[in-house]
Amino acid sequence: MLASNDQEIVRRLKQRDTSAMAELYDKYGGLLYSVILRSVNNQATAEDLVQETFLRIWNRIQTFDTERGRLEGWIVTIARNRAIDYLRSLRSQPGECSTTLEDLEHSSLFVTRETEADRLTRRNAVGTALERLSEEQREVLELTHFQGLTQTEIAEKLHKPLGTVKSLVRSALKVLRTSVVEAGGAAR
Amino acid sequence: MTPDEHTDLCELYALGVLEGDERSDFERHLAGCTDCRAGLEKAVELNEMIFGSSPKLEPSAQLRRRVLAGFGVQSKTSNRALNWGLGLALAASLLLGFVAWQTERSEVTKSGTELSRLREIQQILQSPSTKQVTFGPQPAAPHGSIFVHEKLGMILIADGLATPPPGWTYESWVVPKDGSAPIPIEAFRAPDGRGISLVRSELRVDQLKAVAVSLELADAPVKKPTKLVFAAPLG
Repeated sequence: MLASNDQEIVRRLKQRDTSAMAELYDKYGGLLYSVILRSVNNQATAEDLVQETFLRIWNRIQTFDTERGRLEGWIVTIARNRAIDYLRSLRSQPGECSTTLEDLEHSSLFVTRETEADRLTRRNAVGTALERLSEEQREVLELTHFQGLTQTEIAEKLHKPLGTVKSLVRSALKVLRTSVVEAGGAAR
Repeated sequence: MTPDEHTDLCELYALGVLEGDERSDFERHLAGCTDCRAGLEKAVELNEMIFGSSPKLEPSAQLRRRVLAGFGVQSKTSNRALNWGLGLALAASLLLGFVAWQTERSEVTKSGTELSRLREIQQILQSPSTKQVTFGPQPAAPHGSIFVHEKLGMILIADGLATPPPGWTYESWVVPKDGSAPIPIEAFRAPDGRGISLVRSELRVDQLKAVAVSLELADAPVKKPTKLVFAAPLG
């Protein structure tokens, strides 16, 4: 279930209560800024994209399921996708994969199936697993998750065979999935 | 395809980095596969945990103000008909000027964000419902136009602005009619003497007295105008 505080914030946002935006910002603004800055590596751009992210949340909040939706996951994904859209615009390929980005912000994908405590346990497990990855695995995950590069683009950037990149991505994801399963989650 | 390979596809698709035939094949498959839909939800969740692993950084106090100011003047739409004529010719020339100004800016600022902002500005300027008010006709003093669309927001375009002293920045405000404190909109720069400030929210224009511009210390929280530059009446 959505954390009660989040549920209340969403309910008020849906009623166009702008003071709820301040609460949303105070709770998640730092997280969204951190995610975006990690991608774009420029403070001024990150600030522009944070503003754009909150505007998008405001404009789309009516689609969010107040009872079952996972607010943090939804807005973090919106933030990450704004950063990726920006990076792709710099690479002059805004349309390459962008159709999927918007689809992947559909709030129906962010459904809560567990308690906050369980989620926290699994998140910590993922954090620990990230530290266990090899440098090469971490590098490709950084490029897929925070730079929005396809495996082909990563292969070109790192001057590695595509097969090697695919293997690194898959082995890294498997380590993370396994950590979630071992922590009691269902990602497999 | 093994279950692991299927899960990999779900995760790459969830990141928006699946490409070409792999992506279209997966999308076709996804449309009719409830297992993959569930797999996609799990992949989205794993990804968000990875995004959330980013070291937490504290944004500036100015960002909070800037983000929230965009919503601070939001309220119900006013039904009051305004008697401002829309200067379409002027709007068009200002729009062209703005586009030229954008084009001169660095590669970094010609980003999706700036383009999105430009689209919002274009939308307001091009709407038949937009009202325009001009201020400060004396060329030597700050002068310009305010374009108001009660649903889309407001654009302030001010010319004749001096370069702010080092460490200072321009700040735009809306001044309520009821005597309550001015509401900050956003900090903005004024390259070549022209500053543009955008409010992206509904406006209750009948409750606003003026739009003002002040000079503020760039790193200090803004609570009230420090050095008023001008106030342009809206009515």
